[in-house]
Amino acid sequence: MRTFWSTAKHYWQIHLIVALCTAVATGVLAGALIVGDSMRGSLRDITLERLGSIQHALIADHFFKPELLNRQNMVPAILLNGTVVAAETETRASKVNIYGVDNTFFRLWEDHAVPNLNSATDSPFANIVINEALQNELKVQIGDAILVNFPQAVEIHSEFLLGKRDAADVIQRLRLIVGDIIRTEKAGRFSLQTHQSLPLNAYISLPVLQKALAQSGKVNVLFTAEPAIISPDSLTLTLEELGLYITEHENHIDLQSQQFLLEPVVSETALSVASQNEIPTLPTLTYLANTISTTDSDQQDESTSATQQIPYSTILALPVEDGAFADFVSRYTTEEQLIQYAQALEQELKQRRKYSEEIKKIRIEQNRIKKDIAELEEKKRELQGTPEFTQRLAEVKSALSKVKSKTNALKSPVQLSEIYLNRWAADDLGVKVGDKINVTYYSVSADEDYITENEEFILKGIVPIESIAADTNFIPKFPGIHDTTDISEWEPPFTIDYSLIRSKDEDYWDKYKATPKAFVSLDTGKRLWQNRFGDLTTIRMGAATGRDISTTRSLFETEYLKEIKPEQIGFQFLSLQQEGLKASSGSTDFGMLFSSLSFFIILAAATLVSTIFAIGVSKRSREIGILQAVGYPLAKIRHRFLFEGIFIASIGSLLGCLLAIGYARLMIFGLQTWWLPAIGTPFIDLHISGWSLLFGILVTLAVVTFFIRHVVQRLGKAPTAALLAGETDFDETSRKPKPQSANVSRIETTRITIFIMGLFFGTMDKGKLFTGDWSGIIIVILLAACGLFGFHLARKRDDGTNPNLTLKNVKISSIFFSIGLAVGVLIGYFPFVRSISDAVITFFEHPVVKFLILTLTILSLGWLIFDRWLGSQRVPERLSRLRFGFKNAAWQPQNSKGSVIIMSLACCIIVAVGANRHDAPPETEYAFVAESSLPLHHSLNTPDGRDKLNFDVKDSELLSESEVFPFRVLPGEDVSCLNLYQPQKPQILGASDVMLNEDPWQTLKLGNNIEGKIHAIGDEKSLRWILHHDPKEDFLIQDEFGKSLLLELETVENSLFQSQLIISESDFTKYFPSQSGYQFFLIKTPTELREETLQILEKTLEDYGFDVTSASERLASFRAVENTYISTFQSLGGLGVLLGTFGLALVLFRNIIERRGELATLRAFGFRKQLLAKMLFLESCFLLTIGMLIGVVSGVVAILGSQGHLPSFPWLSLTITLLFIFGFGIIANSIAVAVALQSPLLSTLKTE
Amino acid sequence: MKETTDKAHQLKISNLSKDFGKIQVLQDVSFSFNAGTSVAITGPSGSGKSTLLHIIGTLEEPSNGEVEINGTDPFKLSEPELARYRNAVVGFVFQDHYLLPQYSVLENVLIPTLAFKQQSDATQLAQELLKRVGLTDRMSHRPAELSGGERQRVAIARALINKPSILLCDEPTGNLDTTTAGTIADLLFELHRAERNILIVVTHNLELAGRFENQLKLADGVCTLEKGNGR
Repeated sequence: MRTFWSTAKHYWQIHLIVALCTAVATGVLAGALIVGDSMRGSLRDITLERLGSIQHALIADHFFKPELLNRQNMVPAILLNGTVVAAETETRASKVNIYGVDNTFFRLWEDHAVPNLNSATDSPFANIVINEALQNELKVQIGDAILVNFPQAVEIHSEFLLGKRDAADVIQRLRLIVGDIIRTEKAGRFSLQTHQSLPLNAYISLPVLQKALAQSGKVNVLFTAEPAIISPDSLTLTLEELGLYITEHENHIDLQSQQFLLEPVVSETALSVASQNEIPTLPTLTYLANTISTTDSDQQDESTSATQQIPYSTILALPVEDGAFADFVSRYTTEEQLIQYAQALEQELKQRRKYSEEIKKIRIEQNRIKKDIAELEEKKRELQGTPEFTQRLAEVKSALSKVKSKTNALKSPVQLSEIYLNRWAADDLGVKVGDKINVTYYSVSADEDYITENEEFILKGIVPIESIAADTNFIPKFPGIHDTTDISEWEPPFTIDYSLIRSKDEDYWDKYKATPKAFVSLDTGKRLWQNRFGDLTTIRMGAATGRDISTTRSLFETEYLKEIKPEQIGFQFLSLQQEGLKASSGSTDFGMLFSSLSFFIILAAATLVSTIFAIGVSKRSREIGILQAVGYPLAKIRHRFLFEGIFIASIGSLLGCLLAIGYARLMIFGLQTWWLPAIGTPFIDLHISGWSLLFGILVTLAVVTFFIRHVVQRLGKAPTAALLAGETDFDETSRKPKPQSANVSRIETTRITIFIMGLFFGTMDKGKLFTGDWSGIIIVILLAACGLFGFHLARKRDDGTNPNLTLKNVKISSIFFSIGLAVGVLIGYFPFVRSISDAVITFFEHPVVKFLILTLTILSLGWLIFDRWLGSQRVPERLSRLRFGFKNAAWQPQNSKGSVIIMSLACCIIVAVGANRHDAPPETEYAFVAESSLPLHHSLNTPDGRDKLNFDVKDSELLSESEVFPFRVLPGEDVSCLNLYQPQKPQILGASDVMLNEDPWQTLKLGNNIEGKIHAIGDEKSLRWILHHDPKEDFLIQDEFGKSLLLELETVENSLFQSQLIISESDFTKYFPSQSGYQFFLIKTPTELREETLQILEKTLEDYGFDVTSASERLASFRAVENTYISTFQSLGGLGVLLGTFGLALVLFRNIIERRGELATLRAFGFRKQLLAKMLFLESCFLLTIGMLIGVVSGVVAILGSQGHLPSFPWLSLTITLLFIFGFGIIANSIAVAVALQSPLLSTLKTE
Repeated sequence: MKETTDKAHQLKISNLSKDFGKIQVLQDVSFSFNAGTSVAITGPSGSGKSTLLHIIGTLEEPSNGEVEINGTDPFKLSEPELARYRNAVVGFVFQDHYLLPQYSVLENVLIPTLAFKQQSDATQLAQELLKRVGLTDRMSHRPAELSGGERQRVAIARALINKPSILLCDEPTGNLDTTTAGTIADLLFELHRAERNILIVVTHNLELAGRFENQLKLADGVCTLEKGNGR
């Protein structure tokens, strides 16, 4: 031990550098892990802070009474999104969380003061409490008035015919006084969104909000701090809570909905329950016809040419083929009517036959033309340009156009549906059975406009106004219509043309109210009027077998409430804390991210350790020689050096822990300041984990030990006498010849390796690796090239002493590879093996793996070539100063290689990472991306829509220059790199039809016949890196009814849609029917109108919280994150460069010191100091250049191989960076040379 | 510089002194030698032999006095001129041969020619020199592959590559066995006679010193010139 200390003291400089390099490696690795710990820990802290003691929540998409849940200690609340405007300054904040809470809410956070929610008794306005984040946006103080906009609670869906959608009907505005401002922490940070950004929160007294929403005593969320989960069983549902009501009559009961339409899930469950309990049902659908008219010319009023029509009538769709209505009709249908109907049908059939014949002829003609076209196609090559071809082409074209016009002229006979009119209507229209009846009605278009639709019917029967045809109970109550005394008093959401209403229509209303004037089959009714909100309005039920109507009702109610699941009707049971903590594991594992890139730094540091250690060992070659001379066994000498190295490295590693903390602090500081775009909000606190430090120490020690061992293993290769003479174990000329046995074992190992390689590539599912993409082929070619080149160089270099370097061995190796390949292909057929090979392929197809393999392969190839080159510098040719430098570099290969490896690693990182940097400003065809806090129900593309959204004529005209692409939004989490949490429920956009005409959007148009599986578009990077999902796999989400929905993904790259997944609007409305309106918009606007358009949009749609941002800025924000990551990684590369340069300078310095005698001799021979400096400088520049060259080429090829193309390569910034590195290297080398040459050289030559 | 080499070789030292601080190493040394002269410098360790050799070789400046070689005082030359001068006029052989291990024998011999523009026939000349020192078959070997005597022969060839007026040797046989030392001494004299240069050798070996025409004996900084047995 004493000798150890003496040695350590004597060679303290070398040991210090070894310890420092190890410390750097440990520092970087453990520091990177601590950054990851800190990120996760901070996200976890935020989660715990924002949720307080809240464990679980029951959330609904509608309002319900808290008593519904049989649980104690529930905290009731209303959660809404809205916008807030400072009344005085009109400063606006959108995407504000508006919470209706009482004092119990704040007690969910320990020691949280209850803010002043209740208004002063003398104030006409209620209080609002806001958090500091919102205060910063609004710049308001306590006592200031603010206006809060939030969505109205509506019974009937805004997009249904009877739903209201004008701003005044859907937005509620409240004027409130700021009663308190709380810090943006604890309850002030409460949010259900898992995002690290600070939420904008406003708190209103629960009763105040309930009153404003007309939802007295109701809430839409209940929280609990108790650990027991909220089970669906603890929910006591009632029909009233479900918005349903049953009307009991003498012989039947009617099930109807407050929403007018019975939701599909409601009606399906009701019919199923009725069927199970043997309750007879009569499902009906009521709709409003705008007009019922006759289309027969002889029924028209000759004087006015106007069609006789009845305005605004109820039509009832019900089963007409059998059951009550069929019986009723049959009683009143005369024989004459039957004949009339038969004649009308025959007429119809005739027309159809004629049409069919015409169509047949056209088809024959079409086929003939098709043949002609095919024939022309065949002859196209030989005949193109000849007059014959031109004439033939003209003939075909003319024939084609004739067929087209013939097809267009042929009017297809419409499949006529059947209709029954009541006597009043039939008399009013003057129609008889068999006549054609035209019905117009409103439907709501995809972009929420009323469209007048038209349907032709054939009159099948006329019924008296009695019995089932006079039953108004089929018509659900609709406020504003059913309770009016006159039609003229109706207040429907759609436009009524009151001029059409005649006095006899009013008389009918007076006498029969909403009694249907027409009846159609339920199938027809559903075909015409069903929508995503339902296809039935009333389910009439008779008495169950053996029961009276009253007990049937209670039976149905009980069974129905048992059957319906809360999740189906919009209830969600969330374990907020558990999910929040799960999400806080983070979308991006910064620890892994940093440490995976730190890997290169660790490698660089370890290489430096190895280089320095080797220098130290060389310096002590005499010591080794003496030890050998006095009889020390080689193993003991090796152990002695290994122990020494590990001991020094361990000290360095422990020192590295401090460095790790400092490094992590620096990184966190960087993330909070320079690289803020990567995390959005400066929220990270240092979280030090002992495990990370231990891991850092152990991994670094393992790597460093490996390298030191490699150096130590080379000891004993020089004869003792040579060592005593000052030669080293690393001097090639002084090595002992290798024993024959070593050659044998080496050749066997090589052959086995080659066989395994063949096997590996063979099992790749019959060469799947080669057909996938370029990387497989590149790897194989590179491996082959490495092998052959290595052989070539070895042969060239070999002086005939190596028995392995024969062509025969190459041939044998090829055979081994081929056998391996063949065996691999054969076993690849077996499913088990194939599944393993598929897993391997998946692993190797991962971009990071691909990149790492390619990088290391190419780097290794570069190093190998360099190594071979160093070895080849033996035969003297013409000596020159340049060659002098090269030879100097080649002389101490272990030093030169070390420097080159470190430099190349660093440059490779910088190039490969930097290649992904996007310097150019992002370009997009869209001018703006807009989001609104409250949904828009009118189109911004039509004058009418803009008018309804309160744009004045001038602004509307300006907006007509823009094209708006609206998207529906399913609230969810941001899946872009802007969100650091691991998103659980991505935000989904429904792309409107206008968007779907271009690639890749067309994908969304493709229908998918599989129920529960639809097409979707997602951003490649968001899917892969944030959602951690392989884009080739389907993505699973849940639809509104709690059912699984698979998204078949198509990917886009660098799009504006990095925060969401996109599906088609039709799929959206099918699977998320209750989501109404549009909240996300892409806007195309001519450049010169952009500024004005932005202002008009934000101002006019202020109440909706319409936020417009420049599309290119949005893209830039995503890129800023990427670029920030890249910057951080490049800074790691920079650290590598620092290590590399330091290593290079150190090697240079060491070389100069060691070669003082030689250099002095050169001085004695007339070499000027400057010339020596120049030569040494040239030598180090040569190493610097080689290192950089290998690194740059490896980086570029790795990017090319792993991505298949070079991204928009930032040549300028990279060139500047590389020049900077080169310059830095040169400066460092110059300093090293200058310092080393400063001391007098010539005195070395004196013998005295 | 070519001019200098064309002149008859002459070394003239006048009143030369050298001190290292308070320590006076050389005192008032004066002598003069012409081309073809061989001189051995002898004296006990620390007597200033190497210092004198280094001053003659312009590796060190004297504290006082003048050095004139071929009519030129090298210490009045600028640094670049001095380097060029040394390259052309002086050849060195050291006790530690200081061959550059990374180069072959031939390359090592050629190294002095690299300091300035290389002569076109330098390689040929180097090969001839190596032939003369008996290393024709070792030209492509590295120093590590040579014996001590062979290495010193390479060093001699290297010293002569620029045909210097003065060949300075600092204990050239100090690290060699007696036989090899004798061979090297023979080689030095042989080449000295052939080249007609001034040969100055620092040595402890009195037998070797005795073979020189002149002996400069150094003791306590004082230099005494004696005629030797050398021919």
